[in-house]
Amino acid sequence: MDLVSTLALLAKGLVVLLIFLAAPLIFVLAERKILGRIQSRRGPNRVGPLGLFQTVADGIKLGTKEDIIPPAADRVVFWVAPLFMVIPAIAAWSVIPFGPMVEIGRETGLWITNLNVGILFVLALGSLNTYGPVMSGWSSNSKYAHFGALRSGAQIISYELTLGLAVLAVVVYAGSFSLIDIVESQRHMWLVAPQFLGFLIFIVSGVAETNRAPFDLPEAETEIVAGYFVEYTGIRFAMFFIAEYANMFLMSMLVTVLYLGGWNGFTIPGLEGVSGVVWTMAKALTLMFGYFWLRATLPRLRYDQLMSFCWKILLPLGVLNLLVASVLRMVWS
Amino acid sequence: MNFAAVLFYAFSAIAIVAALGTVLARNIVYAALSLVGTMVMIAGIFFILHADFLALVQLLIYAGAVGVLLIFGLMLTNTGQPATGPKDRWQRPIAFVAAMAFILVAGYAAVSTDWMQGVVPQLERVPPAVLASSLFRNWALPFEIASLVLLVAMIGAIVISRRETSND
Amino acid sequence: MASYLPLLVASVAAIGFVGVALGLGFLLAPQQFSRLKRTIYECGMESTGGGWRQVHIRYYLMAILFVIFAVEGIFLFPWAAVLGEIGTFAFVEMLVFMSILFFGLIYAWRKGAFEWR
Repeated sequence: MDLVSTLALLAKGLVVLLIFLAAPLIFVLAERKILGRIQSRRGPNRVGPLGLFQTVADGIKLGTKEDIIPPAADRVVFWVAPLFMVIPAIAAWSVIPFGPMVEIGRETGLWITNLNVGILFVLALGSLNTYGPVMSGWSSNSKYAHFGALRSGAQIISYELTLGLAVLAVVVYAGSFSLIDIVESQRHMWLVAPQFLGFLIFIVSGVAETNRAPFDLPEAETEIVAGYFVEYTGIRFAMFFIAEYANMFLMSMLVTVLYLGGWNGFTIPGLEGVSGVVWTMAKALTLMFGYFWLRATLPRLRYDQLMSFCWKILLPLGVLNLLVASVLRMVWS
Repeated sequence: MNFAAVLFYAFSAIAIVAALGTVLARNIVYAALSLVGTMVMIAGIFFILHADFLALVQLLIYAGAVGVLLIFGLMLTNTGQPATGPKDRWQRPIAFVAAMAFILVAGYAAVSTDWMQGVVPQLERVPPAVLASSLFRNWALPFEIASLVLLVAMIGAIVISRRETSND
Repeated sequence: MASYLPLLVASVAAIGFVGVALGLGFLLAPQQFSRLKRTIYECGMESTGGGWRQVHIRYYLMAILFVIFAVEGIFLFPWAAVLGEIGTFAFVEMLVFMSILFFGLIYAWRKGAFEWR
């Protein structure tokens, strides 16, 4: 690898790391503002113009709060659990494409790396995502955290299966695991059209994977306070928050890449790169708005409903969707 | 030594330390987590060897699914209780003999194997298409039998846990 | 090799990020001892007992079902990628494979593995 491509890689990595760090700041504020508007309130409006610096202030506050490790907790596991939340949340971004191949001095793609097993890599990291909640909940030695960890673990592994089934149908259409190839294959038609059922299954599973309303039972405030991270304070608590919002944004990007055509859209000639990034971001941000809208609209499910919905409805539907997709593919080829 | 070799030794060292942790840790949850660490490092070694698909199988199945299975299994016991001393001291001589026998056999195999046989100068990535055609054309029967093995595992788990679920 | 390097760099960056954040927290945050602050959280009542206790076996059952279906999924992935080229034989093969496991799913369903009472 020569110097220029190393530098380009470093620059791209830095941009993605900045997105990772800025996403929680922006999305927490956006969520509070949007929830406020939906409930006929103004949302945060005191810190800075229009309350724009509210999450920055929150971040500083969290950083300067005492970091308590309960003596009853298992110190080692308590310490490393936030790491297990953050590593998969950051590593997955290295295979997400933001835009097409562009010409900046030389040919370069607007992604960090093009793995030929990209989507499998994202799924593998998704299954490692179980450890953060389970480790933090177990190590806290608290009843609420314990319930949160169990719920979260069982929920993430169950919905991981339906997520994978939906992705399989996409792979049948695209004929590749590479996220870049999957976007390229949608040049003429976004996959949401032939794969509408798969799209719905993916969205439902994605919301459940990220522990968001209406599937936010692991952190259900009204029954188990904050779930698996109830004993965490200060900057450690912030780690869980950052990972949650980064994972939500990641899920939105995945839906964009797998079903909504990624960077495909109308392009201005000469500005393919810029319009590609704008398209990707516009689609992903719309999906983020969907997350907030869901939270404002739907009540939380009961845990038995959540699990039986996954295994009795979503899983058979996913298998059916895959079979239909593969039969269509066989006939078509 | 090139960069890949440095990475290989680093991953191997961490994998060995984590594997020792699995065996030696008194706290069973630490043991399970060390095992997960070993699995992740082995996935890293597969990545170095350009076996991408195998690396991801290692991450998804072993580090992800089997690790969670182990931890849920451990939670069936009361993990909070401090570990008591071993109750199986009488087994120690037998365990020593078995371990020695294993070391002898493994050592003999390691010494007598011609490691340079089949070494290729440049590693090639195996595209999924080649993998799939080998799996579904040449190894069709073992593949179908694998599904029966999985079915037996599933039914076994349900039979074991059924009494508990019907009671509550 | 080059296409995998970013994954390693990303993992190291994640560890670095957590390290820096925790280090900053350690420098900025106050440390004051208080007995009540160190007890385990409880809603209003006095906190009694720890959280480590035995869990219900159905969580274990969920985990083992996940392992089995994840293994199935791993077989399905190379199959899905080459379905166009590999033809009807592989399709029928996978149909048999999936129906055997689907039988297991129906068995689990009938035995009440998905009932959370």
